[in-house]
Amino acid sequence: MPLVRPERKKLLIVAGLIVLQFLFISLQVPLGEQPNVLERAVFFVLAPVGHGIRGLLGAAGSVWNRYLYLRGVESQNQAMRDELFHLRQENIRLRDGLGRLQEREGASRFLASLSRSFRVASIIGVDAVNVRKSAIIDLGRADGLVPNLPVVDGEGRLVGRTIEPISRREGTVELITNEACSVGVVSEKNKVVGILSGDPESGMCRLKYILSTNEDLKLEEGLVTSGFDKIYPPGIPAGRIIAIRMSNALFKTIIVRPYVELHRLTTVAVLTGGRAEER
Amino acid sequence: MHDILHGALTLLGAVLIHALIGPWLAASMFGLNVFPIAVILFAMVKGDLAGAVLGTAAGAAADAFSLGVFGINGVVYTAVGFLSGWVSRRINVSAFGRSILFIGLLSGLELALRLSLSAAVIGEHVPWNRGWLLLQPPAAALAGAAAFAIFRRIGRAHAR
Repeated sequence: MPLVRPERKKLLIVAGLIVLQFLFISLQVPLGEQPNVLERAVFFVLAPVGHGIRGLLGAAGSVWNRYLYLRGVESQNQAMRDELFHLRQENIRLRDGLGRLQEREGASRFLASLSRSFRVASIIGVDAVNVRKSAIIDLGRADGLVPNLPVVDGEGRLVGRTIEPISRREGTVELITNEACSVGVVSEKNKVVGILSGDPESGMCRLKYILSTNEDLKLEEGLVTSGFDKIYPPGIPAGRIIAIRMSNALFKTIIVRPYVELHRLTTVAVLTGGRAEER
Repeated sequence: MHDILHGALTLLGAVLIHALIGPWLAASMFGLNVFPIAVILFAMVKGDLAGAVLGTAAGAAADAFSLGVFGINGVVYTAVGFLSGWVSRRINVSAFGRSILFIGLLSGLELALRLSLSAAVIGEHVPWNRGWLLLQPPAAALAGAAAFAIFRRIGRAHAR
């Protein structure tokens, strides 16, 4: 049965839309993961919506907590004073300990990483297709955000790096569990150097390019950033080796559990390396 | 004009819900995706062409909020939007049980198309997520059918 005119028109429009999308795909493929102009434009228009709703919810929660729900504030206040006291004491002991360890490489790396300035950001969105690939934060170009800045969690563990698209007030973070992510790392004990890459399927990472003949890496060994990639400063804790598999291939298959708990991530710190003022 | 406004509001609503439940999705590692549900529901109400157009717009939004090749979600949502509208005009899918089945099937189709296209274009592995991925269509079916039933109820009350 021949298609009637309106049906044919509809099919032509839908076919046109699909061809347009394939055109976008063919324009995108040579760019790799770099966003094209249209993707940036859509991100610029829609990202503030998510930012706005998170801000609105935060404000509502803040009004509720500050002005309406005051039960338990006194006891909470007392608990926080106690905690502050303990933290001050702990800080003094840590400074003392670090001072004594200053000669050692690890301590100097740690101190160097402390001296970098940072910006605190909230996670305002996750990847629409796979939550282990990327996240959206509430910092943008207006806050000094540029691509390739390291991102860590509240305990200084590696989360990922900033990538495009970055709008005025929102930015994108590539998580270390993303397949395309590559981080130069070194093992804590035997200083074996490798590349850490994500595996969004399992939420783990893989340590790449470790020769099958290498016997220096052991289970449960920690990995920190090496700094060789010129993106991540040295000494940031990245993950722990949980499996080493041998095969006939040239390289071992090494599975690494990232230290960062992505499912609990709400606040992160972007290490600006002095490019932005500390918040 | 009304359809364009409704489409824009649906897309805006999907972005808002994505922003709201995103942290929960990350916490649960549960791969529910709001955008295809919005496209299927809109197509069930407005028809095939409107579904395809919203599919294109929602696909662009999903692509902008995810790493990967821009356009993959667009192709999939456009096709699924058109098919949802086309089928829902030919069979009755408004009953709750039928809408669950219908949205579940289309969500499964969306997932299969997206994974196939991602594998074909960029050679991406299927993110099975320890089998959680397979729960995406049934979860989308339940959430979508519940939303559809609520919209119908509101529509009926509004008509009175």
